[in-house]
Amino acid sequence: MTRVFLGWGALMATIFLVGLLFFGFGDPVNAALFGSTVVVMVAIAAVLTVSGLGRSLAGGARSLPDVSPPTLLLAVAIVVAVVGAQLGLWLALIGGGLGLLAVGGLVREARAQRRALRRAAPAPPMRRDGEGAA
Amino acid sequence: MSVAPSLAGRRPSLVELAAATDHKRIGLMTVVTALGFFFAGGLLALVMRTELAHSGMQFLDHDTYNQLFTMHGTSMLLLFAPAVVMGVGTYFVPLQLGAAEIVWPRVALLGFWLYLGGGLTAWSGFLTEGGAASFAWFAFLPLSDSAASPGTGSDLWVLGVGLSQLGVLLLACPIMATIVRRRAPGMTLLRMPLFCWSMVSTILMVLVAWPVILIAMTLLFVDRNVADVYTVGGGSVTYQNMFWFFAHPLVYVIFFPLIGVVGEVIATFSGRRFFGFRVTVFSQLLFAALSTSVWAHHMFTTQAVNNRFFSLTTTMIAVPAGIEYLAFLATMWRGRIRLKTPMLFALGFVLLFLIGGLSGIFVASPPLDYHVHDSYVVVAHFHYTMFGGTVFGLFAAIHYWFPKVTGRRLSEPLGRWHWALMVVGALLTFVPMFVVGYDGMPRQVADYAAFRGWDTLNLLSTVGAYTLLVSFLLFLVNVLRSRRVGEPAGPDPWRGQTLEWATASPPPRHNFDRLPPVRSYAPLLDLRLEEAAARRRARGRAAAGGGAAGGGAAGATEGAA
Repeated sequence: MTRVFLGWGALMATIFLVGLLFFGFGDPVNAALFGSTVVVMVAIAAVLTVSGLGRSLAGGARSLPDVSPPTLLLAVAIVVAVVGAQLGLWLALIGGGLGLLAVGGLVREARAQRRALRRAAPAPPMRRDGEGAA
Repeated sequence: MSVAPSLAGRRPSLVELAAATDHKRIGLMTVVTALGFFFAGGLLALVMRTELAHSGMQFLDHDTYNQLFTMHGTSMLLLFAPAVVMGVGTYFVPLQLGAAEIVWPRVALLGFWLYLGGGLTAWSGFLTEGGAASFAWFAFLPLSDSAASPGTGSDLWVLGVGLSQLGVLLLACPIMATIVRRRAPGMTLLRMPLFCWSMVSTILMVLVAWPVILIAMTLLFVDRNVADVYTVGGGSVTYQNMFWFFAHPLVYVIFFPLIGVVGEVIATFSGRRFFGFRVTVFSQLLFAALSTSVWAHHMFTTQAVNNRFFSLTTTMIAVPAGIEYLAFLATMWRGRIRLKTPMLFALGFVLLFLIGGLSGIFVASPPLDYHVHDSYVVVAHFHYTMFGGTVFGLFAAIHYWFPKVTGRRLSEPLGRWHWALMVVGALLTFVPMFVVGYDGMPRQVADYAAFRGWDTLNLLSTVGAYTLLVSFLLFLVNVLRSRRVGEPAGPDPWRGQTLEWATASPPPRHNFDRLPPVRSYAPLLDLRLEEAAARRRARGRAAAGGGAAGGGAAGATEGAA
């Protein structure tokens, strides 16, 4: 998948280079917009390569709660805080408080998830039809 | 091939519904919410079309009309379309990849709620004293600054758009992460279905364009409330560059996934493998790159951009678009075509999107664009791409995947009526706009002079808009009816080609208990072909064995004789 990001970044870079023939180096907006596109793609490809996250894992189920109320609370907190920027500091502060609660809930959820993963045996990889049939 | 049992039946509690980490529930909530914004935006359009049915002001004032078209555009382009495709992707990409779940489900859940919160924030402007934002969905400066558009409604719009698009960005990231990390064993990149590839192209654009709108909206809010930003930083042209760098890819983000859906529908209902799969995948990546490089064609008349370059890139888009059309037609060629409702909508997409695409080549030429700029020609053009492309593609997707999501089929006769009325409505509403636009009718006006002779064509457009309303009501009736008494669908009602059809309808929590082998982008078609070949071989062996046995018997008979 890393190649897809790099390849698409290369396509954007090629179009940018063709564009330079038309608008030269005198247009900082074009350079910034095209340049940031190429940089974002190269950065994603680099992160995937370095971290090894670019490889696909065969998809068994992982330990994950069926519901995550703190995530919902975090969303409410963000919306309240942002709208508070217009309607008043009091609302933004309420949003901030809710946000702290939500982050606490997410940390708790993550710990419980780690504990559950330690306790449980790793999920067997999903079978494909025909495998083990004999 | 076995099918995982469905867990349909128990009604989820409110918390289970609102905070679910199951990608199917998040996807479904996103699609339903987006359709809610679609119907709300559609009602605003209907009010506007009623006002425009005749010259003279009928029942709206100019300011209210401005609010209506701003919120119509905002609802359709920012709140409905990008979210609905992300919702469809959240539901179906893990299924098509053979994954048990989506990667980063909490991010997807957060994205959905930010999107909904942002949408409601933008709409809440109607509740404020000065009303909702009225500077059109693109909010060009200086019209959108605090001097020209004061009021809380405008600020809520800026915040709402920022929040909702942050939500869309967060919805997109888990889909891409799932494509990167959770493909089924054997599913190499070029064995991913076309819809998944169209989501890849889409999300590449989202990753580069959406941060720009977040920055643009933050700066616009600061500009309106704290200190001048755009006036000292290049003025409205800088804002326009940033806005269109987001908003032009937005147009493609909206319909790219639906190109994937339409491709799969056409392949399934033609009983054939998708023609030119690899070329189509590469053309889509090129399509995405070009469409990220054309934003300034919206700014030809500002004379602040290089028209020749942006005209070139815009015209070049015809190449990958042409390749995809060729692939659609070649897939149907000599296929055993079944004209079921999803296929009808897919064909509607192919026809009506073509009108939008061809008129796009027309306005890609700066001299012609100067002539029609800010006229109804542009309105007609983008409604054929948006409505003809997105809405027809979306209904193809809904009719195709409704049985998978609910376990029940939609009614075919009602679906056909829905399709027919939508085709008639789309042609009746938008074709007259080309004519009045070419004749000089400007867009975003609540009124026009009677002596221009545009009354009849505008009335036709309005009749078309009401025809569309009837078609959507039929769709709602169809959905409500089918949820209760629709024919049970079974796991694979269409003889589909991709992995989502290898599990129950609706799919269980972790999607699959086992997967068929993946040897191409159409694994179920492969399986059927293998089974057919095996049956033929068995029949051949039986015939040969029967022949041999018969021969033996004959020989025995001959020996006895």
